[in-house]
Amino acid sequence: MYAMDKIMPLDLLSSIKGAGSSGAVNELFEVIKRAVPDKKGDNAPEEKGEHEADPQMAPAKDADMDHAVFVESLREDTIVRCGDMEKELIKKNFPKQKNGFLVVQKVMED
Amino acid sequence: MESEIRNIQQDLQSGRITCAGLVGGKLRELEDSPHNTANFLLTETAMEKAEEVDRKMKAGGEPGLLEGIPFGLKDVYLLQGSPASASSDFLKGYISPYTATAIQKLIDAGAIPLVKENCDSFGHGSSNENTVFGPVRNALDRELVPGGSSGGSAVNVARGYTVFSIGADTGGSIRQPAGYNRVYGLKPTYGRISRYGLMAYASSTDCVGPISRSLEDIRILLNIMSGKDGRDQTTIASASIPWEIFKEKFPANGLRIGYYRSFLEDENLDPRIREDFMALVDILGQNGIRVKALDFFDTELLVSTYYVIAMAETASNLARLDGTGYGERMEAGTLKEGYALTRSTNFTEETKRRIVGGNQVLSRGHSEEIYQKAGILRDQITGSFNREFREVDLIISPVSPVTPPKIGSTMDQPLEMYLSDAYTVGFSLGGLPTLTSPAGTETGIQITAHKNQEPTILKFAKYLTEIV
Repeated sequence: MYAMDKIMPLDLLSSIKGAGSSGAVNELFEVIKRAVPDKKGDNAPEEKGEHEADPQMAPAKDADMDHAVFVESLREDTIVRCGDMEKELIKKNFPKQKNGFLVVQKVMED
Repeated sequence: MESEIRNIQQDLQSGRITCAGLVGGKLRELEDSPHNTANFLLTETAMEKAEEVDRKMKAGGEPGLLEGIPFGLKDVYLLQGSPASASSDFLKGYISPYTATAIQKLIDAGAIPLVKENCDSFGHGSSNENTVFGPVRNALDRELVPGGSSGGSAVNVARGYTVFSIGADTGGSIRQPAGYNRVYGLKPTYGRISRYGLMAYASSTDCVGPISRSLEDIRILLNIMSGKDGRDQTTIASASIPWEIFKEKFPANGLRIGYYRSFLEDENLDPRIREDFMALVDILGQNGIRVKALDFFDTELLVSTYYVIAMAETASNLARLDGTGYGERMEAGTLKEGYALTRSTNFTEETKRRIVGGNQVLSRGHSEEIYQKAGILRDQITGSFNREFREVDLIISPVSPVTPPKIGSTMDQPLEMYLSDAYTVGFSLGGLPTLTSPAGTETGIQITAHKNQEPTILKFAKYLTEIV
């Protein structure tokens, strides 16, 4: 078992045998490492409300809030039962069945 | 404005053609096609539905907006009772237990699903070669790639095998194949169409979108699929786009358009595409449009920022695929070995590369240095868009730096493949609506507006058909 303070190798982290880092992907990462985020200049992230006085920016201002979900808009915390066909298909997709039971993989040993 | 959907419906209503004849003909074309666009043909259900439509039409029933229109869907969408493989060995035998919201809306309007379309596995690719069903072939030249990852969808539309297809776009996967096959492909504003029932690649940029030969059909399909959905809480409310937008005289005078200097100065850009693009800029200027070069991030930084975020998200999203509840399961001595064997055997090399890359940037040490920094850069990119759209109404750009490469020529060069997304990924990071129009250059142009400004994009695309 790997303790939290130990470095977990990529193959174990990804559950992919023999996995290692890729040269092509590392090149992309190097670009990010070298980049210097511009916190104050032209490319600085906009402060919230920065463009409130500019009516032309109304769509953008609204857009900033588009993906925020207000508490009152949250989906009700209820159980939605799926239909019989959906249940049947979920069972059909289960990788292994025996004597009417869905067979799970080995149990977690550690 | 020409609409293929309306033309077919008129033919069905007048009795000039039958729906069974139409659907049967398209299924035969797909089956005989040398372009390898179909992972699964939905022959039985499609023919049943077509016969139902014929009976309804004969009885004088009121047709739905898409009544009897056969369409294709990328094989990453769930459609109850049909296979959904994501072009992977992992899910080759998987049957969708429910139907994606966007697809259900099309079916409710009368459309008939015809084919689950070949694509890059889990959306991971820009050439449609990363698929266990074999590469898709370009609609115009079978030796060339069709683009990806929605390559099968774009080719089906371009060849007329489907009236329209529904692709999915995370970093350009609708827009690039639309350009490579010269059809329209729209990535709407992020959240405009529900992602429920779309297999997740990178959830913060994944978008559902239509591919069509007709601009009017893009409008119709966008209206039908849009809307808030309780099953995807990132969805946004949006207004329906009226057909009259194409009737209005487009206000060319006073329209402000920008293009990115860094894209045009990109050393990887094909000189023919550069020349054609700049010729288009001249034409726009001659028509009274103010066109302005804008400063933007260099393409290498855009691609790197996008791939860091996309890989991190795909590593998380695909962690659920371990053979426990569905998909292929390989048995091994221990549970962990079983997971590892299952995942090693059933993911493609490109998918594994992205999962490993994602876990790399999410791990301690790398997270601060790479993943979190990419998040800051993404905010900067978004901030830059906000500022630019105070100065311009639209941004136009090439779709891709290169024309479609030969099949097999870039598969072993992943970096080259990633860089081919240079002009599409920035708009994905910003969540902006972008349309590929098959105009201007050999691979078309992208037309981008600020969030929720799809009507301006569509009007300008129509205007382009008049002046180019």
